[in-house]
Amino acid sequence: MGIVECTLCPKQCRIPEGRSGDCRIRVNLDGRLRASTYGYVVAAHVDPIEKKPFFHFHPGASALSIATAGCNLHCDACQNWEISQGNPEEVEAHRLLPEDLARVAARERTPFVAFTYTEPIAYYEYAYDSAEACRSRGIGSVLVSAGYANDAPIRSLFRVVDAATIDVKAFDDGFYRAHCGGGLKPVLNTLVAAREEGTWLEVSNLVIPGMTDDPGKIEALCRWILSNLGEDVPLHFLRFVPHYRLENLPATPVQTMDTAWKIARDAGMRYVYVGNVPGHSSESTKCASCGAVVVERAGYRLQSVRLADGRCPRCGTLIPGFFGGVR
Amino acid sequence: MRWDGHHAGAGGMPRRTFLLGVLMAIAAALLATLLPRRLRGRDEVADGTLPTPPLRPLTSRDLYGRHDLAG
Repeated sequence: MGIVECTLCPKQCRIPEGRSGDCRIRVNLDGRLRASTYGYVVAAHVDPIEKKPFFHFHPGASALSIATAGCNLHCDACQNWEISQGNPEEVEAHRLLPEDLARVAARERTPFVAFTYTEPIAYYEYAYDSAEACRSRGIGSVLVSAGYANDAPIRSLFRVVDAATIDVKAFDDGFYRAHCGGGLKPVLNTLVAAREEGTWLEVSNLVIPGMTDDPGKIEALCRWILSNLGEDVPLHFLRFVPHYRLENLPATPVQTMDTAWKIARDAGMRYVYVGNVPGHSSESTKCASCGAVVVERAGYRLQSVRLADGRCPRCGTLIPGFFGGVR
Repeated sequence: MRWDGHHAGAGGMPRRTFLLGVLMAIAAALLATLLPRRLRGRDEVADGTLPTPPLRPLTSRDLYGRHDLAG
């Protein structure tokens, strides 16, 4: 009995008996750490996998996307703050144990389950057990996370999921501390861990006007990715729209998004996308060698896949990712 | 009893003690603000059981209806 230390994320909360950690999920109950949202799903929706976003991982597949309440970060720009920052016992939920979740995915014929919307690291045990339950039924699972986790647990989770999109809030530790309640270094470690564990990885970055749109910081992020993950990692710049504590800011100008895209391409990133700008020229995948459109999209909707054995039909360049058909 | 500061008034405390008290109150308030939330915690377990949210069944409207969640 007494204080329990949670070692899941870098906050390493020391939790007195009867209380929760910073994520509001992990509770010290009689001297044992318990995840209070295990099996309590506050959002469940069948989405195109492109929405997570994944652009190089089974385009056109559907994903049963779920979340529990709570998060170990507290971002000022959180779009899903009603469920991520709410007290778990106050947010209406569906009771779905891991086997139930796998059963629903099988019934709905979704080839993947996505742990998304809030923070899967905060509902770690549920995501882990659900990924295993899904895998035993031939259903894959993907992670959409801010990546603020300790090394050992995140590596274990990467071993049971098939792909991950990690959101880098900004290449700026000060931004993390001031506006997210976290830090940059553990997130970068998570990106490297995903690569080392062989999990398919895509990276996203929310571009907020006046906060994360500094060209120098965007270029620094790209240079870091090039040095540590390689030029083929898909990079998604996401347009900010006013939310939560940043409702006073305007939406990011499309011109700023274009600038971010150009910085990344000029730095050497080969697959760069702009999200939340319907109709943007970058929403389709183009061969990085010859520029031919190889995966055509309209928003999150897949229009066509023009690959031959994963290669560009015009020049034969191998397009990184998983483009095989799934049911 | 004679304190070494000026009296705040008849029956009042010495000015130095008063100022010290004010400063300590400000420092305590600041400290409480700066103290990490994880050390302050939040009462979760009222009766020795984990709190549970209100439940509702999963419907096809949940799965396929419109929603505005990101990710």
